Amino acid sequence: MAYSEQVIDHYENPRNVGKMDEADSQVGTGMVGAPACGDVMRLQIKVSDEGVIEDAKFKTYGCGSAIASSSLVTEWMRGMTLEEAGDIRNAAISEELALPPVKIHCSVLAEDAIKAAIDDYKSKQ
Amino acid sequence: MDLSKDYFSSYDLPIAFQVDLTALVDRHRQLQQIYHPDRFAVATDAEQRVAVQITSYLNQAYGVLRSPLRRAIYLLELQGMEPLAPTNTSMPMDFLLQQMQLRERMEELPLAADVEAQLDGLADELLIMHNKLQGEFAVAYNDAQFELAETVVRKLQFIDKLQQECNDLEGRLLD
Repeated sequence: MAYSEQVIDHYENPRNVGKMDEADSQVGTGMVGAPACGDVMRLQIKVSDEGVIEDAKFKTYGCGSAIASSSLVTEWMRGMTLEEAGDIRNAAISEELALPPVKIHCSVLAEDAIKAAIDDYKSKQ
Repeated sequence: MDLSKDYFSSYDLPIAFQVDLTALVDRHRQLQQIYHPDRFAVATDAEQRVAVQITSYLNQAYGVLRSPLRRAIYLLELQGMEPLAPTNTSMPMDFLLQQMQLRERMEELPLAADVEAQLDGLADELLIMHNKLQGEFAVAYNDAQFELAETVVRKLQFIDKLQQECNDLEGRLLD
């Protein structure tokens, strides 16, 4: 299976890899895993008092598509409100990255990670 | 040979997680001999095709039956479940945290001064986790607690993947 150029770009130059302080009340952490492939993904958002996502970081152990999906959403989420970020759907991710059907679950993983991070942030407020 | 039967029945084994590996290997050899395509060299095209189909079925079945992970998945599939459905990404948080830590450890491992000892230590820990989960699966499955068994299989899948990557890493670092 050939990866698309978009996937290779994010895989070779992943954006926003890193970790933020989980204990920080402004930080929401989402952790998800895909049993189908054993991939694990951690996605973190830092939210301003106005409810805007100032920063997003990720760390993904998995295939190129999973790394690209999480890298892409960290780029998208910066500057979004929580509501806007919560509306990101896996279909948009897989379309942007031209993911083949067998890799759609990687974009599902990223969508679920966003939701988990938002839920975690809200639970801290 | 009836290819619509479940793998256990084809190998004269009870449908259970615990498998008599000696009996499995013996039966596989026996079946392979009976249906080896070479034996059908002078048979009709139709018979040859059937022999190829059976051989492919046997390889598939044998692969499933001798792997604890694949066997566990298969047992739940026989119950009509889909333990590794890609749409379900929620795992217990403590388990995911542990997964992240193990992955981070494996990522940093090549830089360690005592790489070999570190690799052995990690491989040992993963083996213990794998065996423990196999035990948990057997208990849950035997008690017909299939939901619980499904959660255990999912964990087993992650540990299995880590074991493979640990092996790959060992191959890369120590060769």
